[in-house]
Amino acid sequence: MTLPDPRDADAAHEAALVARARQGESEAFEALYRSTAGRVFALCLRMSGDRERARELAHDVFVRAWEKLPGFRGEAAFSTWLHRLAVNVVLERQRGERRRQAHEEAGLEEDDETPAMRRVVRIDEGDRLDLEAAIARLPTNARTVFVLHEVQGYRHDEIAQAMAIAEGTVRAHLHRARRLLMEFLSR
Amino acid sequence: MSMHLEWDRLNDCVDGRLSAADEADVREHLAECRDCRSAVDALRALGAGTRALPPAIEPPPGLWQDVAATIAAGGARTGKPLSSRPPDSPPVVPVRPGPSRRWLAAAAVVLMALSSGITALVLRRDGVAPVPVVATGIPTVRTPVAAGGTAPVVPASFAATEAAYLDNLAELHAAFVAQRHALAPTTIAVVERSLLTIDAAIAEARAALVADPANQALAELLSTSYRQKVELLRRAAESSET
Amino acid sequence: MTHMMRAGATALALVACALPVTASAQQKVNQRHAVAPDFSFRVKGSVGALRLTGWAKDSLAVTGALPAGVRMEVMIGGDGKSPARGAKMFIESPNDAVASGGSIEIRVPTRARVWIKAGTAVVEARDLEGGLDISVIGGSVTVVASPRELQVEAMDAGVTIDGTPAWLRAKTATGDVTVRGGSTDLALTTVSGTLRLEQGTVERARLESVTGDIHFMATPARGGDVTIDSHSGAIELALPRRGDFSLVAASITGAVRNRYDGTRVSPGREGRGAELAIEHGDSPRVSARSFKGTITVSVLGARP
Repeated sequence: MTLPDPRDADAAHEAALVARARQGESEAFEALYRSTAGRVFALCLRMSGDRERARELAHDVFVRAWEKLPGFRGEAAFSTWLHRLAVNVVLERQRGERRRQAHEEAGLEEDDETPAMRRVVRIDEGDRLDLEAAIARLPTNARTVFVLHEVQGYRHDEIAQAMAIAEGTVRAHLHRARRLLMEFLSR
Repeated sequence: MSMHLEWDRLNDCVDGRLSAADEADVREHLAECRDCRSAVDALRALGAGTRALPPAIEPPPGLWQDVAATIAAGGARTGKPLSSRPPDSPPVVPVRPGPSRRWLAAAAVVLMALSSGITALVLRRDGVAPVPVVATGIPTVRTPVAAGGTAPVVPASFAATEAAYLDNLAELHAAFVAQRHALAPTTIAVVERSLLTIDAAIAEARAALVADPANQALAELLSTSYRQKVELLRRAAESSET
Repeated sequence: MTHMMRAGATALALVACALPVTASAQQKVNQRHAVAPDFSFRVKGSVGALRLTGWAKDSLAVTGALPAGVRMEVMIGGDGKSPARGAKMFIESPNDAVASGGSIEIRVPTRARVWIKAGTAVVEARDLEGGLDISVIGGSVTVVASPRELQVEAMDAGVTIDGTPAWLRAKTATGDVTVRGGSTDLALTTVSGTLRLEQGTVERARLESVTGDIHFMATPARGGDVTIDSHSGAIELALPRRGDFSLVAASITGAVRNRYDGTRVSPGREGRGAELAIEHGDSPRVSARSFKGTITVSVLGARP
């Protein structure tokens, strides 16, 4: 006798929740939130490098998911769909901030809440960084590409499309990210 | 080859992005070059370490409540995006966690509609006309009137001011209720004790203003008490973000 | 917060504070960074004691010890080549009990602008001239400094300020507020705490309570405006023997006592309560009002 695969039961349960959430049932959406929030937050945190920003981003992801759920037809697993949506939210926000930064650098407006990362200042010599902290220290584009490729499993061409950059640039960012990480982790 | 491999080639090797010919060249070099082998091993270890990172990280407390409040502020889903922007356009204003003034208005309406024990109207009941209490869920001083008498109203000159305060307080109290779970019990106790104190003061001053509608000093003192309540609820809602 | 000037930090980067959890269950903190003289620093989190000191160096130093289980992150802005304009620090504890075991000392340039948001904490700040914004729930706040702008918000924490901040806002629910020193623009607000304003000169001052008592023992500046309101809290108002002022004190249903001079206290509207008006010139203006609290006017510095 073949035992039922627990993953099938999970998938069926998730599909049922999605169906109810699409009808506007907030309890079902909350259940979906509970089962996915950790992964979404991990993605937002690793891509942004900042806990406060990650919280804002995760919030936006779930609000956007609620808005777009009626359009989700179940072609992919809900978690896959949600993760793609999360990546889009983070990348959109980064693009928006780059535009705002350009304004700031032109002297049009100062905003002390700008969270975008640039270079990092070293901490004390004796401190060893763990990998999470090292990833968070990466410059924005290098970090984004590294997380999408190494953590989320995106291909170079998928990252290029998502970030609207050339594949060669994706490759350059990825290689740079790895070099920097090795430097951070070897200290 | 006597020189070491370039960093980009090492990475391409690890990522399997070399052509067959290049890969053969690289393998040949790695067989003879310990340093480059170490570099490849280190790259592979970095990849393995990254893949071994926990897939999930616990979000900060209160995130679901913020999401729920935002969704509630958007009203029932109609199958259309909540905004009129194109679906894939970037957000015009980044939504911040925690209640902001713009969301609170709608969130408060939804929460007030759902919550029991909240009155925001001056009602007439058996000769006792309660003063407007705003969503404290706490009994307040009631102003007795003679049976058959009219419910006490503040002077027209103050009515608009009071209405504005009451609207504001409804929003803020809803935010406080939504954030209660994130507050320590001692904090909740301090806030509720203070709300009781302020509500009693409002009730007394209001009753006096009703009896002496031309008393400008009374109107200003009542306004001060309302303002105190607004301030207290705002700070209570914000303190949950610590 | 709205009164604080915007900081110049335009970029932040994560500087991980690696805190190995040792068997001794305390994590040492020791971070130093070069920062600009008008550096902006936001501190948010759960820690039992936080001491902030301004110093003459253009650097940020964070030292102290945190219990195991507490997580700290420091984020520094800038490109790494020039001193940072801004930074943020977060301290996360699983609960207040764990947090209470932590103690952090922060040194910033004297002209820095600092925001602190904590739960229950003993917060001390000294020697700062820039801006300071402290928000706590419980514990205590002590400021010995004269920053250009100072805002303190607390629930039941007591607040003590020794200095002359040009702009000062202090708000509590039940905590007492004591200010020793003057200010140009000051507002002290409480529900049931006691407000004390001692010494110094004030130009614009507003003191408000619901049931808490209010003690005003400072000198209103020429051209100034002082407003003191309570619902039932007693108001003790001590004014200089010499100098000009225009005083109106009124209690709607309570009493007014004149220990300043011989001016008669008269009944209030419709015979209820009491009123007192003392005119020594038309400026500064001082107004003290209460719904049912007792208002006492006396000479500043005179023995009771």
